[in-house]
Amino acid sequence: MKLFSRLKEVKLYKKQNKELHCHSKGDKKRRLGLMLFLAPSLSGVSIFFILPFAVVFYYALVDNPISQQFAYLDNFVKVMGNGAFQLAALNTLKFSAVAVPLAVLLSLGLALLLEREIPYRSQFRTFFLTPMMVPVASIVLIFQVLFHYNGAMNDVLAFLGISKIDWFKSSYAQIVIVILFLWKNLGYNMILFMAAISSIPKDILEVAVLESASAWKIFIHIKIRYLSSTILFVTILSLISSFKVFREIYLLTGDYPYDTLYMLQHFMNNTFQSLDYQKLSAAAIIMSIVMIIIIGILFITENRFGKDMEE
Amino acid sequence: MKKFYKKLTALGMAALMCVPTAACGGKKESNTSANATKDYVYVPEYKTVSETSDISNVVINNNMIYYSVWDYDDATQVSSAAIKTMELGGTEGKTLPIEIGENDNVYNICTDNDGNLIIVMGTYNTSEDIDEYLQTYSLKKYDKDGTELFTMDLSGMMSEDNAYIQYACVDGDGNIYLSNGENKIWLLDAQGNQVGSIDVTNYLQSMGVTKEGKVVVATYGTENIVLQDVDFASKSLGATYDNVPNPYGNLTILKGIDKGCLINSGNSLFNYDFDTQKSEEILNWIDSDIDSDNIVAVSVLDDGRIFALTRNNTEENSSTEMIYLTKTASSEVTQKTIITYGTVYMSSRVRSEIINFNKTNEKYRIQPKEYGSDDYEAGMAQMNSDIVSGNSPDIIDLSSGSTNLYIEKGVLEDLYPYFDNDTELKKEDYVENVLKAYERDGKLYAILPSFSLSTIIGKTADVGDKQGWTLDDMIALVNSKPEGTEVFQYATKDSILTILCMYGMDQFVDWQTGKCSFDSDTFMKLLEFANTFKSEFNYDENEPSEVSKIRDGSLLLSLTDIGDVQTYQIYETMFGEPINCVGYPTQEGTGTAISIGGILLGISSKSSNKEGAWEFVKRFLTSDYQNSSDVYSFPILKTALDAKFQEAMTPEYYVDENGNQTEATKTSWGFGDVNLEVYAATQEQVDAVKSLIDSADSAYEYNEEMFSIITEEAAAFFAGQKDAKAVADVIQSRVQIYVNENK
Amino acid sequence: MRKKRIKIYIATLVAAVIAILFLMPIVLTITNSFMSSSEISSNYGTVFATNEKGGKVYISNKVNLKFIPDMVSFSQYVTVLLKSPEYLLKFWNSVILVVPILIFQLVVASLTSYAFTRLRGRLKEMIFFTYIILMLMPYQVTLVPNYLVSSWLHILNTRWAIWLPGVFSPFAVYLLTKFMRRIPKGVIEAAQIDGAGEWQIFRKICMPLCKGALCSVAILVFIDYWNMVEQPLILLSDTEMHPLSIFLSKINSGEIGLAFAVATIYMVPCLLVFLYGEDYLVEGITYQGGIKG
Repeated sequence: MKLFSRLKEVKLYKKQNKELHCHSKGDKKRRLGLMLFLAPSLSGVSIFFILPFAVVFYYALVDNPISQQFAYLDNFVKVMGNGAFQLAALNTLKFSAVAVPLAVLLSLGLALLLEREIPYRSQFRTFFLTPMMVPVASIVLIFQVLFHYNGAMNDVLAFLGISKIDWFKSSYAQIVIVILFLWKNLGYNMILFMAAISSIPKDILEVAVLESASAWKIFIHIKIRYLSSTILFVTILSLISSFKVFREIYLLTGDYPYDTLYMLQHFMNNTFQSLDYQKLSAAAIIMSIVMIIIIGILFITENRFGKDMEE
Repeated sequence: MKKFYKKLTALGMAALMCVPTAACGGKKESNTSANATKDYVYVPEYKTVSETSDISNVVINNNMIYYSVWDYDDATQVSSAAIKTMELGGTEGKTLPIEIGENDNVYNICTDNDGNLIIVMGTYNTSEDIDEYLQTYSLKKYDKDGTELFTMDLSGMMSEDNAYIQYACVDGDGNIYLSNGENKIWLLDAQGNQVGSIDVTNYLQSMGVTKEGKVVVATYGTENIVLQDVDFASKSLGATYDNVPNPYGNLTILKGIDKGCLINSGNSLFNYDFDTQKSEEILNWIDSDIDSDNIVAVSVLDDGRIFALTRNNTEENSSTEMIYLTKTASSEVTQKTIITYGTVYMSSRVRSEIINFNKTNEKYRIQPKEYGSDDYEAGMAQMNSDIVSGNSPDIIDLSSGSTNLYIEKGVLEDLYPYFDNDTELKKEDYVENVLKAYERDGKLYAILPSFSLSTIIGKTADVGDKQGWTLDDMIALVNSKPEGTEVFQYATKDSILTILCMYGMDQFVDWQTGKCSFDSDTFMKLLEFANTFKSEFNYDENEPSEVSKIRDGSLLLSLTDIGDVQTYQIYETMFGEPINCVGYPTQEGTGTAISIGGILLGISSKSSNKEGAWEFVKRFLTSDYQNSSDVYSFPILKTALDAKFQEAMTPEYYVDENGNQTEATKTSWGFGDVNLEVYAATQEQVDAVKSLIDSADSAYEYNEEMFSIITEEAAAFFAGQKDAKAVADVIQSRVQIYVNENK
Repeated sequence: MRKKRIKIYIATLVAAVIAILFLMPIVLTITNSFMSSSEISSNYGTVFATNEKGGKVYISNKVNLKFIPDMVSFSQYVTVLLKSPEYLLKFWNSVILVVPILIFQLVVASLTSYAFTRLRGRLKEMIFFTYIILMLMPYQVTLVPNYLVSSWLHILNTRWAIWLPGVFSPFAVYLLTKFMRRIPKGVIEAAQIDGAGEWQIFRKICMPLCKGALCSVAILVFIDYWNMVEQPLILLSDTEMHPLSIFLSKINSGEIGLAFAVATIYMVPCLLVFLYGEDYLVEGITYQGGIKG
């Protein structure tokens, strides 16, 4: 059980480290200096992000931008009751619930794969990153060619004796989009995991191997604990990217796609186009509230699990 | 995807313009003329001229107006022309002693700095043979009293292919510029001797003289119209000037007020500055109560006033007005309450009503806001967003669609209370079911001053005598006929699908509950039915006409719009046996739909001047309007409708060559191999139309978003790639989202 | 030992299969850019065809995916690079728009992230949380208010309308903060005890350690802005300032061949960024002298 005593040692070291940090807490001058570091960003973000957000909030509460009469929660009630919004919210939730964990797990898997001493490691790493570089328009073109009703994918299926699938206009549509999403984002996530894995103290792993702990045990007890902060990080990044995939969906299928592909961004985009600004703002506020809850939960989870390993 | 970015750009730019105005409060930076409050206006002063003949070639020099008149005497079948002059502000013209023969035409009049008149005249040679009916041009110069100074024959100068003179100008030095209005400019010296010519590669739009006496032409540049100097000395086109306003039809170049030139784009008059290459709108004709459709000539007077000559031709009479526009500070003009009228495309009927309203109403003034002036689609999107975002015009022209959506969103005002409070109008006087077409839950949301009926016509022997049928009935009829029988003329899979869907939309979309049923058997049957038609229609000129095919039974039905009794009569004649307007196939109801006769008006529920808006809207319901001869389709006022019926039943006569009183045809339609003629209607025919009107109960509309989904998906079925069920499911899925979103 | 060998073989095989799948689109884009227009259109027919109303047209003929051109043709490149200078101009526009954002966003973000890493307390946590939420807002929501703010500041239709919101984007702040937190506290504390000021710690200790992180963030930021479409469309009405990404998103059927060539050229800067930054990427924030037992 040397391994665990070793882990305890690390914790102890961390604790001391924390105490050390507390010394500087009273240092007001330093704090002031640090505020100066923060100043440019805070002012910029206030003007270009918080102020606009306040405008959105205001629009969500008035009946229209001209008469600007307060409508209280009318807009929210209307949006919540809207069938299209419900569908969009559900689809987006479903998509993120499937795509984000997959993106985390698969990229972790890739990182572990490349961690092995296989030949051409760095080349593989580069290859996995390339999808990031392809412009959206080319991705769309290529996916269209692949998954079109008369496209390459259905040719393959025909070869296997499976009948044609209308990928973009059936319940398979979400699968295509998840593939697209993973294809685009796995590489970067993998890099983040690789960086995190390489920062796991080697000696702990060596000790573990000497203790002849199984690979699985090492993975669960050491790697995952050290990686928990990165997992959260990658989760949030993937969540952001999962919202960005809308541009591809939109270019592939237009304003009104098959219902499984109808995302919150479609709803917002269409209400934006018809300038139904109250609906749009209310939907945005509802979405941010949900976001706050999800991110909050992720944070709390991280605090519970990963804190001791990171600080 | 192109569409989205186009839409987004248009919307983003245009619609967002309203947001900052609202938020900044008062700070206006709009570039549409309707919004900009200018600090001056041009106030018109009218002079009705006692001239009954057609006036053209108006030119003003030294406070004298010169113009040519042309008249045709029906009795003697002789035309006469003259050149006249009048003092500024006068009403009576004086004929100049310039002789114009019966075969002469005055094409252009212009003046030089000395006040002489330069006239381009064309003369037809009086050959018997019609093929040699040639015209020769000559250039004549007269002094201001009409004494001839010289005549120059132009036929040597002009070759046959461009034997026409559209524009003539005289520059500051007295040189004369003629152009065929296409690709050629001829340069002549003050004595009329040709000095040279210029070939213009880009189509010539207009030619004119600036305040400085320089001749410029408008041509098509790479993207837009540009102005170009005409360089007399080098016999070529000179410098190019950008930022020329886009014309609605013709573009006219006039001498500037202080410098440069003015450009009349049709709707507005712009000041163009050659130094900065900027144009600035100085007046919008409608703001000065002038109907731009009626403008014959515009000119700038030496004192800075603007002169316009308008001629209003109606069936009853025609009147000519000379209008003097004086620039006046806005503060000096009595301010009326402004009511905005929003439209994508201004119909000339509404324009003239606006002008008449503005001329007479003491309290309100209608200000049109035209959205689609540059791009119809973008304009529509912008108007749509203005209305939905609360920046709505007071009066909305609903004829371009989306009425159901607006009603659903609650942006339209209920008009029944206005009816009830109105002392002149009574809603009982109007055709109920037409009012009902835009009624929801006892509230009236739009006014349709005139209407026509969209229906399907068939032989009574085929379709029975009841009005209304279902898709099954229709399919059964088609199946009962021999193979190869055409159902509709010019029908394709797409057109049949669109038409049957459009009129039967109620079966598939229930806006009230927001439920779609495109996955129903009915819709699938419709798809199958549409699939039996041709994919593409190939026009074949040897094919027998619609009439012949109907008569020999190879064509079953006719899709049509009936806007008067005569059209019904024509169809009766066409079928040659009893007909029945059975209507579009629907689940229930009669299937004959009310279609908009050009104008459909609503008042915004957010308007702050609803009373004033009603003042204007009700004009279209008054007996004067309803009975006027230029309401082409059925009027909605019962008495006016009856009058129309009476008129249709009253025979017209003429005296034939033998001196006998003969009944004249009311109307005739040619179909290539057959000519159909109808005479005064019988009581039965009128009754048939009446019952058709009574049976029509709904208005249809074309929703572009929905139909683009339907046709896009149906194509896979028509191409034989998917079955009807799969396609119907996808359509259901996609349209349902659209409907939900807009609920 | 043999078992291990087999494991490595399997791992290599798996990696190779994935690599092929991942590489396919980029290879397709590049090889297809060497096809002539006629070959392109016969292969892809009307994938991007639109009807007169702008809707999609249903394609009933087969789409033909091909990797190797029948005949290598440079005609697309000739058009893009020589015949119509507008592409190069748009490319240049992209550069002008993206490079300042990239540089200044990284500067602002590293300052901010450093402060976030060093500061403690509720308030800081809340601000940081706000940054994350703002970062997650879809563009459709913030676009109109952004337009409003730009018009208040009178920077509409100037590049500032793109630059400023870009520079202050919370995205890089979040990423960098995450990285900086990994710097062992001991290193900073030691410097602090040695009497170094915050600026010195930032410059001398933090920045050199963050090289890899900065690279990593730079790649993401660069790719994000290099592909932007909506912001310039709304905020820059003058099309002469529009970047190449807008053109790429507007391609229609007649231009697919060009699109591949433009896309290939478009990928070059990304490729350069990658080649330059890749070695730092994996290093991330590894601090070798970290925890000692």
